[in-house]
Amino acid sequence: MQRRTFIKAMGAGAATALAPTAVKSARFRPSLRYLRPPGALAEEEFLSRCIRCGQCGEACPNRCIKYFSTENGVASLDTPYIIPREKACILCMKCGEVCPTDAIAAIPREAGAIISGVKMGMARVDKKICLSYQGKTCGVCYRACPLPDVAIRVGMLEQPHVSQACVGCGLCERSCIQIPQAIRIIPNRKGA
Amino acid sequence: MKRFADVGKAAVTSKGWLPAHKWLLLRRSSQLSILILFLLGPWFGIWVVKGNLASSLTLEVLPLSDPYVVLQSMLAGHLPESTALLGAVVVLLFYLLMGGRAYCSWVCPLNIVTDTASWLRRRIGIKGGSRISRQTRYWLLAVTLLLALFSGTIMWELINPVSQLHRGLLFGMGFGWAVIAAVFLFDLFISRNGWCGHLCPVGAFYSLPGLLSILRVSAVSRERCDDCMDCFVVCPEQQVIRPALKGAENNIGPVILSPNCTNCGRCIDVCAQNVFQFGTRFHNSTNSSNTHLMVGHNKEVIS
Repeated sequence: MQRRTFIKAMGAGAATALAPTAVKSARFRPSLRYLRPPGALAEEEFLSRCIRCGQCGEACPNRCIKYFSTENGVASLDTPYIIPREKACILCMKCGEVCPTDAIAAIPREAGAIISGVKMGMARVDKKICLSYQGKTCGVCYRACPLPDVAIRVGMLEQPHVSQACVGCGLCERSCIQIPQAIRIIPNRKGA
Repeated sequence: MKRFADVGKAAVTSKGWLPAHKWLLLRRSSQLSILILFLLGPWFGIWVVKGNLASSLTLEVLPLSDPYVVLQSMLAGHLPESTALLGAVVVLLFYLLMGGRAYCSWVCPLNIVTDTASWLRRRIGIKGGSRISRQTRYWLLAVTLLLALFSGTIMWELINPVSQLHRGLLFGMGFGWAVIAAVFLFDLFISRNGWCGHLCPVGAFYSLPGLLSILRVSAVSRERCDDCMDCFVVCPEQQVIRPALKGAENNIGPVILSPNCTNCGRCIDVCAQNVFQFGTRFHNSTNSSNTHLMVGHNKEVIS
């Protein structure tokens, strides 16, 4: 009897873990703001291609790529992600180079290719928090941006303006001296 | 069946402790060194191997991929990069040479867990348990492949205890612990060698190249068998021994040809009569005088 209960429990557990609907519903947690590595395909396609080999994180010289446990649903288990405020992407493009399944596309490390091929998200400035918009000249985000005057332009008092060319690497968010940060990346899950 | 303490005792007495544990020790060192090679990078920054058992790159030149994962990925509708495909071919060729399920006993990290469960089970004398068919694993293998085909993702790999354990050691173990503990308790209390010997679809997959693989265990000197049963007690796939060991009167050769033999070599260790040794599948004549043809490790057996 005990055995039967156990096997039933195992079966129920497996069924729960496997049911595609359950996986789908667990897929998206809006409160969790994370980025996929640069060149990652659209979320659905990315999850389907990634074989969780962990080579992207090991290739990352900046060690900004981390791996999900179950906090973003079972479907995201052991997939790579970046929390830009903790450590942002330096756009070295090594992760796409080593990815064996092209879940992260290989993109050459050139400004043009990166601007057209990478769309991890886009920076958004909160003018209520940003120092420069409070009249205190700052400009730290502009100096941290790997694509200055392309992704971020600054105006009077170094007030940042984000353009469509922003690839969402998160270096601005990482460097913002305000707490909480006045500039943050709104993730893009649709690929480039 | 014998008391636990007596199993393998005769071999230790006649051969000495070290020769009676030779293959077990080699196997454990193989499993541990592979694990350490993967962990050297993330833990100590020494990058010999990058990646994990799903797909890896050794010394920046040698790509290795798990052909089972690659197959699931392809069924999910994705063609991996050519290096990953090449890696899968390299791995397949290796196991065609060394025995398909050599993966299970020489590489798989979960083997240490299930062997411990099996050892503990014998030690504390747990008998009986559920009778699951050893064919179940092939059904599960089919289910995992169909899952990949219909879901368009490598869904099985998310919960596969083998991948979970290996990835957990590299990425940090989340709910993986629960899965590993479930396998351990299942093997300990519910079914003897339940996971590896009956359910595991990874083993089932690797048994397929084992249908043709070259390196095999052979009961070369089977006429010396004194029916002590020690090999049956320690073997994780007991059903594979009998046809070869007791096949002389049925005109069946001495080579263990079952694809589910894991080439663990534990039978060689525990046999006091030196009945078994590693050889190739081709030296399988029923005439026992051909033993000189064997690629032998035990010179005194041959002479």
